[in-house]
Amino acid sequence: MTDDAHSESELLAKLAELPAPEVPAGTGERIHRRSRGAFLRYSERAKHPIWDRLARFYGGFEPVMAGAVATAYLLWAFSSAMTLITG
Amino acid sequence: MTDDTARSLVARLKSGDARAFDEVYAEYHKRIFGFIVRMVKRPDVAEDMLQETWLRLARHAPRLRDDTEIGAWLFTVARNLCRSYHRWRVLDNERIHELTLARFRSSSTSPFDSAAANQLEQRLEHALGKLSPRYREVVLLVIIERMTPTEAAAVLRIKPDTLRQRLARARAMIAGSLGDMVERAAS
Repeated sequence: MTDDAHSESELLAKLAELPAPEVPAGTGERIHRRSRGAFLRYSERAKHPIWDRLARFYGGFEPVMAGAVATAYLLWAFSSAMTLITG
Repeated sequence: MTDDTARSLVARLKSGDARAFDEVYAEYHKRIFGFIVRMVKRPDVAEDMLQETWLRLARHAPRLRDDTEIGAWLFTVARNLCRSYHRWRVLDNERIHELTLARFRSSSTSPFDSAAANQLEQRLEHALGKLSPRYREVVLLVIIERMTPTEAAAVLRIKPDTLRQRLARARAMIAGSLGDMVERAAS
């Protein structure tokens, strides 16, 4: 046994007090900045559920893109219907 | 954090309050990083996982349940990312550990240098690192993060009894690793 022997419970208490590994300098700020930006974007999107649903339906397109695709479909459907009606 | 504060924080996150996000980040990012880096033993991988954990919170915040315990939620995400990593990693665990330690020994400002400031801490870190992931995650959540067995069991999606068994085995394994440092009752 070594001179600095400890009881098992003492060692486990020391284990609980191990200092957490430090986040590398600059990494914490970078991740905070990016995730905060994403948080604001997703929160804004959630306030407009129709765009959110469209974005998901069209495989994760941005809302503007999803809106453009939806509009194109509507125009195509309208022109097809008009062609059928007018011959 | 009281239940009311926690609920109000979740409500603010759901409503898109950026200051609530900042508060959660300040409270948990170091703890989550500590958990991940001790699970995967690679700081570069841990940084990516830390970012992914916070991006997932950003994405899911509007859809959080009102009774979400945000700390447990974050640890669950981080733990699932670690599990995926352990499933898919190519390099052998021990080799990664040796590479990581070699890298840390060569740099005076590495996280482990500051984390393991003396020999006892280094040996404890080493004993922790030698545990298999299923035992290490239990020690990290219950002993280091001081979660209750019920909370930790919820994060790990196991029964509290199973968690207690794993914790007892993990403690025995750590004591075994530190054999010469542990005073035995019989000695």
